[in-house]
Amino acid sequence: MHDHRTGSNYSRPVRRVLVGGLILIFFAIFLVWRIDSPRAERARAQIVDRVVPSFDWALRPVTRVANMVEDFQSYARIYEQNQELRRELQQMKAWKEAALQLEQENAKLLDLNRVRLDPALTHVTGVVLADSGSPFRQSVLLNIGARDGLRDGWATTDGLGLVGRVSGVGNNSARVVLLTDSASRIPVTIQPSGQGAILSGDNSSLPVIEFLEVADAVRPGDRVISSGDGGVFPAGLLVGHIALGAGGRLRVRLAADYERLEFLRVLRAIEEERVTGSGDVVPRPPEAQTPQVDEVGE
Amino acid sequence: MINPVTLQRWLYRLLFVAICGAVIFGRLLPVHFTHRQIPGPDLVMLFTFAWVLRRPDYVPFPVVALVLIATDILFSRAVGLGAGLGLVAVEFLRSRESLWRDLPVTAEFAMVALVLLMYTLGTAAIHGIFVVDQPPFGKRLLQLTITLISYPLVVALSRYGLGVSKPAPGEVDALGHRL
Repeated sequence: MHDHRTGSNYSRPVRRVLVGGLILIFFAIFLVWRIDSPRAERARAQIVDRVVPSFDWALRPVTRVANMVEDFQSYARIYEQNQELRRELQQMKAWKEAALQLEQENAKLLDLNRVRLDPALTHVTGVVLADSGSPFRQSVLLNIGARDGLRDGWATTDGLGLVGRVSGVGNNSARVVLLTDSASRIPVTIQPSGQGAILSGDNSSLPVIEFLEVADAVRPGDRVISSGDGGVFPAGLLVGHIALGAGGRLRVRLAADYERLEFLRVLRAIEEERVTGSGDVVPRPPEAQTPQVDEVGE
Repeated sequence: MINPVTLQRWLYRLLFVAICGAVIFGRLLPVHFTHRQIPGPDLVMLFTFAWVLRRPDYVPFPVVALVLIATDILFSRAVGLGAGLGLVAVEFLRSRESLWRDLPVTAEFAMVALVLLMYTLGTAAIHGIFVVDQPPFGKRLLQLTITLISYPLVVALSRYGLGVSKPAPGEVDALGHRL
């Protein structure tokens, strides 16, 4: 087939080589990304860090308008909402009373036990800049980053429940992988029975409970909190409540409001002290060691 | 003085980049246009296909490559894979563009469907081979279906809204070159 578009036959092979080279480069990039994932993701975070905050001037008004439209739609059923809110308020008052009593009781008990709460658990609050949530990836971008001392792996909450973990930190932005993302796995404890399990996201709004030892001891409605196993997360953060999913699988209804992620708290986790070494049963006295080694050497 | 043909060509190239930029931008917004569970169409691929089958000179390969790699990076997908496979698909269509210039729209649709199916299968297969976390295959097929359904809309928009149409037989540009 004679190419009559470019009108120059000699430029075709060159072009073909260039295209082939470009495709090869892309696959090479893919390989590099696959082999050295952390470094590639860091590079990606830097690019996103450069690009997305520069959209900020446009992101904000559009988001605002979209939210206004959403609010406007909700005017349609404002009466029902009002009724609903009144009912909820009534319930909340009851809960508030209960909470105050519990708080006092808790304070007394803590005082009795001389428990010292972890003072290192402070937080930084960020605004959600962008949301690349899709059915394939569930993550949000915050407007705080390494500049604010963020590190990979820190836990993020919306003030009530756990939202996700920081994964990818740029200078001015950080990506938070939500608990619903299919790559998210966190250790949790299910409260009344105290069993440990893994909460694994599967891109649905209700992540799945996995590796549960005695499933019979867990009922829908049980509280799920982070367990802090493996030093991944601070322990004791509320995650949500157990719900029975389709097919009898245990899932978690998350406490955080995933529909409206606007401000997120990133909890500063200070590196915990770790116990290393397998632990000798009888510690050897230090002065007895040197002669022994000499004997073995001879 | 820039001649009008070159100017028009570059304007359309800019327009292509702007459309893809808008698509990426829309996806980054913390607002959901589609349901959480139902993926939206892959608009970047659709526009590229529709344009490359109409006026290949409006979507030169460096521009396509740039757009695709940007999409990969910003949508946190496997970097380079979508761009590589996408470029293969686009160049495949481009090299045969003059073959189905005269064919009806249905034939074009079938061809695009086939190429997109291969693209989806290829992506899934490479993800599997390299043991990368990937969404369930059913969801990919769902997205493929939605993407295909939206193809006629994208074509109509490009054709009647933006004026990107196949050159008629014997049509010449302002300088008298055949298109």
